[in-house]
Amino acid sequence: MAERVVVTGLGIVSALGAGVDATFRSLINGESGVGDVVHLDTAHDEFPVGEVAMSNQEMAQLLGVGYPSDGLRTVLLGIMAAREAVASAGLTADDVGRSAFISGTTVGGMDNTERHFSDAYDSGAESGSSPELAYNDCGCSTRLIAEATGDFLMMTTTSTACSSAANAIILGANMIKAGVVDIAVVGGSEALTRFHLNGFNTLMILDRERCRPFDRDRTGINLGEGAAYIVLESERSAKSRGADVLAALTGYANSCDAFHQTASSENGEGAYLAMCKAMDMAGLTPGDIDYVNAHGTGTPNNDATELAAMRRIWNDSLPCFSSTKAFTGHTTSASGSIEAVICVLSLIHDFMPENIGWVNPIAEGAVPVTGAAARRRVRNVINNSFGFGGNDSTLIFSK
Amino acid sequence: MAERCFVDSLAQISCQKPLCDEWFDTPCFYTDRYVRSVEPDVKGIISASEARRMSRILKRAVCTSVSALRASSVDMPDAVITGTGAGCMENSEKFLVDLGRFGEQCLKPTLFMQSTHNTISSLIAIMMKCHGYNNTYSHKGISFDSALFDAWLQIRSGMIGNALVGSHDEVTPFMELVMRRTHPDCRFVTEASVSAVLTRSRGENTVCEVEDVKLLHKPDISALADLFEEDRDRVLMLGVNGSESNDAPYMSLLDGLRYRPLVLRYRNLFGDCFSASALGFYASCRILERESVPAFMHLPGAEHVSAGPESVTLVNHSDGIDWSIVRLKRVASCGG
Repeated sequence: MAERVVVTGLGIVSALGAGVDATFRSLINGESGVGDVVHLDTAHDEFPVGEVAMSNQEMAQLLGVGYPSDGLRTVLLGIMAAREAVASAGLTADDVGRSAFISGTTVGGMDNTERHFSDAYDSGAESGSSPELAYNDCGCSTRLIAEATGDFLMMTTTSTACSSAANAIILGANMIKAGVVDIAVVGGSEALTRFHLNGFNTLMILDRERCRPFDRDRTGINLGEGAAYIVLESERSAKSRGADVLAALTGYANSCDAFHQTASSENGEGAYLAMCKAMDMAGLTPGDIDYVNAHGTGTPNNDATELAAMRRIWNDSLPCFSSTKAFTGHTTSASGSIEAVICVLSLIHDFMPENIGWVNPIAEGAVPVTGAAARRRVRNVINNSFGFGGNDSTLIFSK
Repeated sequence: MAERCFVDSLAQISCQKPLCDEWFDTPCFYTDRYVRSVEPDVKGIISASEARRMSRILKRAVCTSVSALRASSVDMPDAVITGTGAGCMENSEKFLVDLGRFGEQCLKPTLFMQSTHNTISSLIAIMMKCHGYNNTYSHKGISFDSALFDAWLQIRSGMIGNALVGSHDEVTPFMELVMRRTHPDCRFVTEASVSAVLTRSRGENTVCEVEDVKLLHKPDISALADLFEEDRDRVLMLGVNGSESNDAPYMSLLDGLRYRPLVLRYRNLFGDCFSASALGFYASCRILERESVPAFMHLPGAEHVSAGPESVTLVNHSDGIDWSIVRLKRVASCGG
């Protein structure tokens, strides 16, 4: 169990663009990807979203994939990010053949379901639309992403709403530590759908302006979409391949808030436990944490309780923290890995992304990172991901 | 991985009589091609007011979870890990129907809140106030196997002392129609809910030991024979269901073996759905515990297992693509 787990590859696509370089540029320049809805077929144009600026057709063409992947946005986004991660780690076909692929998603192919459901339902599954419903479960998305990326040894899918990708990363790390595999490509993918845009709208937690995480006057989420994967590897394997080590995954924990299906407890118990246990595993004290990439969705409930959990750990001397949701939108199941990539970039480039859109503190002293990309030495970062049902997970990346 | 992993208790809800093992001696065989689970009596497990707010899959999951925990030595699990291939279908389907009929207005928040796959695992944690590890796997027909793998890995590695592992799938009448068109290899479509408590230490009620759990993607079936060399003395429990396309990969596996194994089946009794393999696990554990094999679990024409088997290897594939191999062992013979 002593094997150190390191990160040797990154792949990402979000409203900030395709690829690690485009993502880094946008973060440094303070350029948000949140804007008017273009590709999602919805009546709700009043809500800004963090959409990936490509149609399904454009992505399918770019990736050279056909049916059924070309109609499944979660799959297209996933393939783009997974291929970049595998390439950036320099994995050969043999390496992929002994690797695990663990992907998180919740909506899966729901966008395709939406296009065909009513027709299939009204015809009692007799219409030609019915077979289209076969490709839309979460596991199918993972299979299609993985198979377009390489011949993996094994795969599975985590589905814990907005912490799905973080939990995929945790399983991959546990497998490497136990010696089940040396390499795991882990992360998540999630496209925007009418299903969850409307779902979040029924909960009345969508912001009609660009979201303002940790601001006193925040009113909710901008939904986003995207995918990101990181390549986790035992340090021994990375050394023997001569791979560049980008960061280490030194700590992680998953702790359930066990409070409510869609709200978090007032004192942020799940978030508090997840951060504490992750620091324990990493052998770090609160003072060792240089930056917290918060879950920070911009809802009144999430940000207040996440801050309450941080106060329980750091009291009045909060570490630098920010939410990058105003850059990407809330990419739900993919947010854990999208923000993991951002955290690794923060370690590589010694910078902390600003909490754009922030004006007034929630409480005295609760001031997130402001000013374009604060440059400062970053050694240990916390990445929080909290899902519906109180599925709270924390990852710690270190230099 | 220095620790061992034992099954401490189990509970099932299926097309057989729920929350008991009557199927072992008096199984129900159906002529219908689609049978929903026999609903359990929730009295004493869920209050009437709570039950009214829960969809069927949630009620079943709570019933099997509470039953398994009551039968175990564990009060508060270190982890709740759940598999579900399709998640909360009833609620998702209602939300989609409303979205189609009424457009993007006046939709019901409760349907959305209880539509995500992790609703099940979260609800169990919320009811028990369990702050431990909580995860949900949704990967086709190896959803249960993935949840079991996670629990087994963490127990064997010493990260947790025990776990409540379950897998739950509901099949609505519309889903059944879709499955008939899209998964012709399904024969007898059913629903499944299984919960098990796994522990690091062996106790008085230990059912059996989970020695190994492997997940594989598109394995070379001829190369699998090597993997099964160590199973020479074991009984194989296969996910065969009588459909040629479903059974062919299992038959290729058997053809490639360098010995003739004793083979059992469970889907003739428990049927097909994404969580079916959880019932195969359930049945295998009970066979080891009771040291006997019901006659209906033998493949037609195959050699019968005479005495209680020492060990069972559960082999499961999903679409011939994702595979799992689970090795179980009787505790009386595992040497303490």
